[in-house]
This record gives sequence, structure tokens and C-alpha cells, in this order.
Amino acid sequence: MNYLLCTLFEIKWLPDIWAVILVSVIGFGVVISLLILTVLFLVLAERKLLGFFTQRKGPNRVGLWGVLQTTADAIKLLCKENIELLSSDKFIFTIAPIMAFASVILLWCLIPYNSEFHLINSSVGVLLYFAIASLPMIFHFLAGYSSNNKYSLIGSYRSLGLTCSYSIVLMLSVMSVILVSGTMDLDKIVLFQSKTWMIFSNVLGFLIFFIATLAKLNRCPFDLSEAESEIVCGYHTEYSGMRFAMFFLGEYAELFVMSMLVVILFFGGYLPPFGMYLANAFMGNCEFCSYLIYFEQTIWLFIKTLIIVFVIIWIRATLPRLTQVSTLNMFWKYIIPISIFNLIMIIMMRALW
Amino acid sequence: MDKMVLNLGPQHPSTHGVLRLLLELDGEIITSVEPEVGYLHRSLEKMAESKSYIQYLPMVDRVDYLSGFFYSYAFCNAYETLNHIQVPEYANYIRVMFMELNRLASHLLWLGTYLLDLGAISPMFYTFREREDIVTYFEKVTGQRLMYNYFVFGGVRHCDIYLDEALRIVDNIYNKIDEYEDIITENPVFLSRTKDVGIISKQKALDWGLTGPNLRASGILQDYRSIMPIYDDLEFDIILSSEGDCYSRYIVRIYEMRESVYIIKQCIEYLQNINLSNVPLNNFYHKQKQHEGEIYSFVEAPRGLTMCYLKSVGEDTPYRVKWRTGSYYSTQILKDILKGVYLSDVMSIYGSLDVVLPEVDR
Amino acid sequence: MNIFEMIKEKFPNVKLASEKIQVEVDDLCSILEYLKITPELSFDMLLSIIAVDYMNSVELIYPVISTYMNERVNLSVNIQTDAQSVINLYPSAYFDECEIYDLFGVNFIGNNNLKRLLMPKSWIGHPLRKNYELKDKRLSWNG
Repeated sequence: MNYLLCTLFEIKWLPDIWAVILVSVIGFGVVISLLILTVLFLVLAERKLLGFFTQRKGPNRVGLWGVLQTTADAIKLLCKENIELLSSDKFIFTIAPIMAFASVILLWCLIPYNSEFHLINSSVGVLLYFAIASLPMIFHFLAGYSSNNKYSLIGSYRSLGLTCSYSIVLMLSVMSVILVSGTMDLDKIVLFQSKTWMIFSNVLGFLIFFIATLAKLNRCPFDLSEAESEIVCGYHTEYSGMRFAMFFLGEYAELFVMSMLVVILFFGGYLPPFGMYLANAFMGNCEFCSYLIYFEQTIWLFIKTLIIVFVIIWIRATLPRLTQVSTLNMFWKYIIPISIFNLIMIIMMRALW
Repeated sequence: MDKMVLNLGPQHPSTHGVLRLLLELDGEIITSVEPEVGYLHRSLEKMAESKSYIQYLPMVDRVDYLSGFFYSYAFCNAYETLNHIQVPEYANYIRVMFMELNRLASHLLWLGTYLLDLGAISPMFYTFREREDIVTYFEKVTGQRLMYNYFVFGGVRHCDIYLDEALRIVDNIYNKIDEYEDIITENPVFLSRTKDVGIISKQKALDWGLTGPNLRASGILQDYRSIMPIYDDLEFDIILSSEGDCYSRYIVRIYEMRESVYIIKQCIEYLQNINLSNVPLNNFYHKQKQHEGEIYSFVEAPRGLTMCYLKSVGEDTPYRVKWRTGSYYSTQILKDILKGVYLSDVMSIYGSLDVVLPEVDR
Repeated sequence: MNIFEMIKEKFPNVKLASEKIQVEVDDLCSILEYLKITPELSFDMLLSIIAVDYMNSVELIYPVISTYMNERVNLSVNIQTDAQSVINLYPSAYFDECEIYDLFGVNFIGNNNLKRLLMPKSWIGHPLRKNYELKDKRLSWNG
């Protein structure tokens, strides 16, 4: 990014302000297209994997191996009518899915995809990430509240109750990562792990973070705010057409971006697992390689993320759903004390070294 | 604090039919429950009064579409007792074999949908895979997947029953039950959803007329199969559990499936030793003159004790037919046991009772 | 001593009619209570309530079973339009009584929440009565 910006500044082809805008728009466009492609792939992958786990074939009619299934579904949802209840709060009802999706897009912009491409590079990247990551939940709540449906309302307050428990755990375990690495910049956290991954020095922190991530993503076994066997669909019961698709696609985009954060915090982000880039290994230190490395870094990030996503889908295929009460019990009685204990251990380790 | 009335059903993803529960909620805690039934009332009892016995026979399968053989048997048995028809021994064995296969299919479907209610998606596909075997076998023998009309007055319709295939199916299922147990029985999330949830004490179970596996899970030894004459020569255990919670209802059904496999194997062993190709088919129907009398015919169906009351005054049509079904009483007990539980436990309790709504409304 | 004789000893008005025991309307509740609470009998479960319409009267049959003895007794009572409710003894009778109220028009004294269970709330008539006219205009298929 900076490289591109500097080149534009140097050649004086555009006024400086336009160069900045152009670079931002290009970067944003890249992120958006990545997001859309990933989500389309992810929905298909989840359905295929669930089919595989339950000895079915999964979608296999649209395109080769059903690759166009999600596209077809999205087009179908686009063409559908947006049903609005008479008694719903129209403004919030309309704006909630858009804002929920928009905040997820913002999350995607915070991720360092490789050592150069980092759209929003902030020295407090982790904090910024979690500040924005709590937005979709608020809009989920608003969506459920404004649709004026009892099932939606129950789904909403369940998701609020869940938020109260997982956010603390999430922050506590991230705190341990920050303490180990000594920085809040996502880029620097990644570079800190170039020798050993964070997971080896902070296993407990990773486990806690992963469980809280599942809760944050409304994934099984914490999918109680949209438990379809109890409260129909939770907060998006009354949504149809593209508004529903916003929630649905936003959920998958969030799933992927949270998994990317797990990889960045604990699995070395875009760094290759063997300490050496494949491009360098095969082609030596040529100038072309230094460009190839950027792509390789992104590919490593995505491969690691997909492994995390696979585990999350695997969990969904295996476990039943927890109840609201047992989830709150679990978080407040067990996981929060454990994460505080973990934090203290990390502090002591830092003090001793 | 204001209370919220939540109308659960009649169209709801996991009421397994058209049950409507009017729940009064205080936060997530339920303070009162009112089950409303009758959305699937097909007036099977009224229809009996205008149809002759043989016309009514295909209809009784529809009382419960998941265990049609039991209702067929109850009605055939009532008619046979009324008119003193002797059923040959081989036909009794075939009937028991098909009823137990049907019990297996019904319990398998229950297991899958119950886990689906709890939020686990995979077990449903596994159990439906095995159930499909049974249902395909039924289709091969009777021509129908759910509404069989295979038992007739005095015996069974025909004897081409492909015993080898039945044996293969039950052997397969016996192994698969272990697999289900591997992924379900000790799953900590499943345990937290079912252990000590929805406890029905002995007294409560008796007061509310629970029967079948639900009653045995509460620790009461009551299995009508033990006094049914057609089960006399067969050996099987009655499964009993004492806690009365959702988990013990699950355990009772799992073990009952194994017992069903034992019973089916014994039937197959007996049937393999006789030559079914030249047995006389017993198919009695007295068109003109029926005996007079009142018959209470019982059978232990998968969802509880089923009774067919048949009153005849000698006419071509029954004077009165009354069905007593297990689900009717399992629905009623919700009024009592759902009070004071959390909304998220409603489905784990309701699902564990194995209610099928057509059976309630008839 | 069999069950009928034990009942006969306490309530002399009962008659044995093939498989069922014919009792008087007023005795029904006390006989059921006697059957339920006597320890050596303990008929603890009411299976169902069967109603049969005989044009001039309605017969109610109460099959009760004892899980302790594995025995069944059918008590039969002939009524006109009013019957005693047994929901205090056997709560499971609630749905049965509602159903009989719905389909036969029998009023159960003591059951305050009688409602139409199976038929719609606005239904006119009691379908399982023998004199029920099937030519209802809502039932278009037999019009």
C-alpha cells in the first residue's frame, strides 16, 4: 500500500490528495472482492462439509460440484420481496442488516493480509478490531427488537446476555497475547511470531479465545440466539430477501474474519509455517520473488484460516446446542476465572524473564 | 415484571406436527402452559361408525403414521376377538416381527429428531439412513412406506417377506446403535441438556397416565408386551430406568431398540424353520353377520399403551371405536412438568416424550 | 378374593356385566377413590374415558389399571347429560373429559376448564352423538 502510494507521489501523475483516495479505493475494492468471494466459497464449503460429515453429497446441481450454488441462492434472495411488518420500526428494521454487514466489512479492512497490504494500519489495531467487532451484535439486537416479534425479542436478549459473557473473556485472553508480544499493532503481533507462534507460549489463552470466538460468532454450541428449534430464527425471524441475505452473508464474513484474527494472534498470521517462504526456497532471492512473497503470505493466511474454519464447522456437526443458563454459567463460573488465572500466569512469566 | 405470552406453534420447527403451546413467560422462565391440540383432527372415530370393518381397516394405520402396524394389530385383534377368529401361529410371528421393526423405525426417527431439537444436526442423518432400510423393506413387502394395511382379519395379507433381508437390516442396525451411543450418550453438551431436566416422578407419571418408555423411564415396571399372548414364546427384557429425566427416557429407548432387535431375530429364526410358501392364508371377513360385544384390545406401541375399544351391536359397521393413544397423555403432562423450567428446556423435555400429533388428534 | 367382590362388599349397588362393572353415578368417585388409595389394590392409572352414545343415555367407561398388580378394571356408568369429574383423583382425565364434552356434549361437574378440545371453538353440535346430522353445510364433501 505504502509502496504504491509512494510511487504515485513520486511520478506526480495525480495530485497527492487524489492519489491517497485512489489508493484507498483500490485497497477497499480488493478487500470487498476478497470478502464476497470468500463468503460465496465459505457457504458452499460449509454445506459440502456438513454433507460430508453426515454422509450426504451436499449441493451438487448448480455448476460443477455445486460451486455456483451460493451464487444462485444469492440471486434468488435478491429477487425476493422484502417483507415488512406493519408493526415493526421501519427505519431501524431497514438499517440494521445494512449496518451489521457494513461493520463486518470494516473488520475485514483491519486485517494485515501480507506485510504490505494493510488497509487500516493502526498502532492499537487489536483494540480497534474489538471495538468494531462488537457492532454487529448491537445491530442484531436492534434487528430483533425492531421487528416486534416475540421470537426475535427472545433471540435479541439472548444474544445480549451472551455478549456480556464472551466479551470479557475475549478481551482477557487478548490481553494475554498483548502482554506476551508487547504491542497492540496487528502487524507487529504477526512479526513477533516469526520465531515461534504465540500458541506455544499461550495455549490456555488460545483455548479460551477460541471458545469465546465460537460464542461471538453465534456458532454451535453457542448458537442459542438463533436456535431454530426453539425460537425459530432468533433476531432475523422476520427478515426476508436481501435483508436476510445481509445477515446471512455477514455472519459468514464474520466467521472468516474472526478465524483470521485467531490465526494472526496465535498462528503467526501470514508467516509461513516453516520459517521460509516457498518462493524463496524454489527460486532464490530474485526481485520477482519479493513480489511473489506477498501473494504467498496471503495464501498462507487463508490456508491457516480455512483450517480454523474447518474446525468450527466440524464442531457444528458434532455438538448439540447449550442452553442460555448453562452458557452463562460456563462463562462466568469457569472460563472467566481461568482466563484471569491465565493472565496472571502470563504476567508472572513476563516479570521473571 | 410483566409476563409475556408466547404462542409456540401450531407452525413451529420442532413441535413435530401441529401442537400449539401457550406459554406464559417471566423472562425465560415459564410460569404456565396450556397445550392446544386438535389441528389435525380427522374424526377417525366418527368415520368408523359409517364404514364397514374392512373399509375401516386401511384407515387405522393413519392414526399414527410412524407406527402403523401397531394400530393395525390393535384393530385386527379387536375384530378377531369379537368374531372368535383363530390366528395361525406363523401369522402371529410375522406380526410381532413387523411390529418390532416398526418400533425400531419409530425410535430411530425419534432419536434423530430429538437430537435435532437439541441442536445437533448429524445424528438425524445417521438415524434416517438406517430407518430408510427398514422403510424400504416395508415397501418391498407391503407396497407402502408408511401406511401398510398389511395385517388383515385372521392373519397377514401374504407371506413373501424376504427374511434374509430383514436379518441383514437388523444386524446392521444393532451395530449402528453402538455408533449412535458413541457420539451421543457421553457427549457433555447432550448430558447438560438432558440430565436432571424434565424430571417426572413415579406418582406424576401415573397420575397423568404416561405409558410406554416414558413410564418405564420413571421407574415403573409396566410393559404390556409381557402379558400379550403373541409375545409369550419370545424372550426379551423390559428396560427400566429410575431417574425419570430426559436422559433416562433416551436410555430406555436406546436399550429398547436393542431388545427389539433380539425379538426380531427370534421371530426370524422361527419363520426360517417353517415353509412360508405353502401356509394357508387366513383372511376372514364376515360380511353379513358380526357378533355383538365389547372388546378392549391392547398393544404396546412405541409411544405408549394403545387401546382400541370396539363396540359392536351386530351390524356391518362398528357401533363405536375409541382409540387410546400414548401421545395424548404425554401432551397433557406438559401442563404440569413445563412449569418453572427455562424456555430452552421446553424442546428437550417435549422432544424426550416422543409425541406425535396425529396420534393425539386422531 | 377378586376385585369385584371387594368392591361389592363396600358398595352393594355394583353389578358385574361381562367385562365391566356397572356402578351408580353417585358411587363412581368414591369407588375410584377406594380403588386408588387402598394399598392392596392401588389402581393408580386411569387409562382413558370411553363414551358410548345409546340415544337415550351415554355410557362412560373408566378403565383403570394397577401397575402394582398388572390388573385392569372397567367401571361403567350410565348418565344423561351430567357426570362427575374425576380430575382430582386422576389429573389425566382432563383431556378425556374435554374431549367427551366436545364430542358428546356431556358436562362434567367439577371440571371448570371444559373446552372444545378437538373441534373448532365455534363448532355447533356434538359430532359423536348418534343423532348428529352429518349434513352440515361446512362439510361440503357430504353435502
